Amino acid sequence: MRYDYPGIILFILIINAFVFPQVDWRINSEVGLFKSSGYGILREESLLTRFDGFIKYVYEEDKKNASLSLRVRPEFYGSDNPINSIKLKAEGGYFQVEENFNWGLNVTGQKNFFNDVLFDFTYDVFTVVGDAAWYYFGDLTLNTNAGYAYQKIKGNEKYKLDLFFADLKLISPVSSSIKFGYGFYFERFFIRNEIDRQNILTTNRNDGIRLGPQLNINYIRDFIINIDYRMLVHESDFIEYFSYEHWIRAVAGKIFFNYWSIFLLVDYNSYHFKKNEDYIEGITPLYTPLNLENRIYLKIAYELSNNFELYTKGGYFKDNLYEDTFSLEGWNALIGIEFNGGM
Amino acid sequence: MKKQSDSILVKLFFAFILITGMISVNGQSLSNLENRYRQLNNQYDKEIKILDSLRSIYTYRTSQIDAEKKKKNPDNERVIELMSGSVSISNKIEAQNKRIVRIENDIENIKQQLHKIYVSKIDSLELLKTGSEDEARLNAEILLLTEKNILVAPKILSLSFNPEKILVIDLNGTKDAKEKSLYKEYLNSALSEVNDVLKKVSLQISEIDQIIALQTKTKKFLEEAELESNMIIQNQRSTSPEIDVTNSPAFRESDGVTTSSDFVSNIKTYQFILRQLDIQQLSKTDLKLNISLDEMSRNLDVKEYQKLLNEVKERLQEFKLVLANKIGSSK
Repeated sequence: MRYDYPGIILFILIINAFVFPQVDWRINSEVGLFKSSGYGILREESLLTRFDGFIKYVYEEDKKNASLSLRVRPEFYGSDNPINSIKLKAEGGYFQVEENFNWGLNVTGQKNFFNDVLFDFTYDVFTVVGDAAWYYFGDLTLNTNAGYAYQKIKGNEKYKLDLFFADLKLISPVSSSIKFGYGFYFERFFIRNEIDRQNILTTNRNDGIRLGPQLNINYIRDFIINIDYRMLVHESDFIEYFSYEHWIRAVAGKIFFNYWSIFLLVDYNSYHFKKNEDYIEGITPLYTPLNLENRIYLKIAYELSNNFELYTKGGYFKDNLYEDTFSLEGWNALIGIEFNGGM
Repeated sequence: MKKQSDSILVKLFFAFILITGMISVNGQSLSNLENRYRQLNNQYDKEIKILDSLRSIYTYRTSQIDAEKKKKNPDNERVIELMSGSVSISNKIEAQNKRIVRIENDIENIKQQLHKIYVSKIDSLELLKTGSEDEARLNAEILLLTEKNILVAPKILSLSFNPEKILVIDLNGTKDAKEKSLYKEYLNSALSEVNDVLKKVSLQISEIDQIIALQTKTKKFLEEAELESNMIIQNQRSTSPEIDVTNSPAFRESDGVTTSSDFVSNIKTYQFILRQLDIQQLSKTDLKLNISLDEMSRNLDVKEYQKLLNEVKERLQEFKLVLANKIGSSK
């Protein structure tokens, strides 16, 4: 009953999509297997069924555009005692072209609900990002981003993260299809957690910074490849000098035989923290529980027509939670169909 | 602890400034560039002369081989000797061609840099001119820079025939056989030119279609992947490949890869062709690409370029039909 509302909303939006031409939409249905090293049913191999609905309204004028999108994704893990999940994401964006620069603003809200027979788990993210590209430096383009993100995880324990970040990158074209970027990333974070152990509630906090140089290489012509690398130095209440992190994100893709496409995403983090004497394992939060994750994600798709696509995808992830003492890993392999339309 | 982290911050800041400075130093002075341009042109002329000499020797050698072979009793040893000499010259010609292509690329690169500098200097002088007492001197300087700029500015190609005149040609109404034959030749050459441009435009459309499809699919794939993960903030825009001018496609010509400034010049060319074909402004277009060259080079929408190409293709196809009809209907 709980999942009826998103379905109704999506249905209304899709009906609207046929009325308004500036609307882009898609519906996916997927089924497959998953395995995770989590607790209970998630420790087993089992069935995963997923539906995904996306709708985006775009308003365009001469040198500006605004968009609003909504995404709803119900997921059902297992069959006997299923874990259900629903992910909702709303996003608004505005983009404007000026004479010597472009600028944009993006606001995103994401809510994830998980529930099974034992407990409920929610995970929320909210971000506001302003970005601009400056064309004052000959062939070089200066990209700047700054924003705020809020993240909240609520299950048996509660985590809250506030972070402010700024990102500066100079993009230099190496050739017509290759560009090279280099710059600097800065982040200020504030983490709070609440842990209940034997009915004793403890509240902990950790504030710090994460900063360092970044490199990017991008190629696009017959195929696309984009690699981002950051070497980030950490400084927070529970770690000592010199604590750092390597962060790599690579995306590659190719369209082949006209209707086939293959895409690969690799996220890799390796971190080296020197904890200080105030650190208590499993109690005081570091940066790790919130966004360090290694994963590989692959998708192969075949376009049946302009509006239909068949695909198979697989993903593997490994979260190193609580600084290597506990890790959560898993994989899934799915086949799906997409029905899309609009612009 | 704080002091240590402050020191890291300071070091990282200076390292960043240093790296940025090192890479962004592309500021060769104008006179250095002009000297380099002259040197390269001189070198190019010399290398072309060497190539011509090598070709003459090669032609002479091959004619000697032919002459020897045609003899009643050809001296095989002599033929072999001549052939091995020819192979060595042929290799030298190949190496010389490569050297010339490299110089051509260097010249093209410097031409682009010079063009940008001249344009910006001319603009600055034009600004200074207003209200200046030294107008005559500034005018002379502007003229000199404009002359130099003409030599290095990207070429804007257009259709060599006049589409408006083509429309009024009536082969059947022409009585004089010589005149008719001349007109027919003119129409045939126009048709062949239209076919060539159409071929080029179609190739570019398919390449840009592929690039846009790749960008769209990559964006969709990343959106899916973001939601795949439960514990990750990755939606900062900098992490996804963006569509901006530095990502803009430039297109593969038959003899190599074009640069992004060629891409801008392509747009100029197609705008020009579009205007040529838009006789009496009969068909209005909603294209937004009616902007200055400088603005284009910085801030270009790839989808607008796709629209422009499609529009050019459509007009060329219409014109091809007209030409084919005129040629085909003549008695």
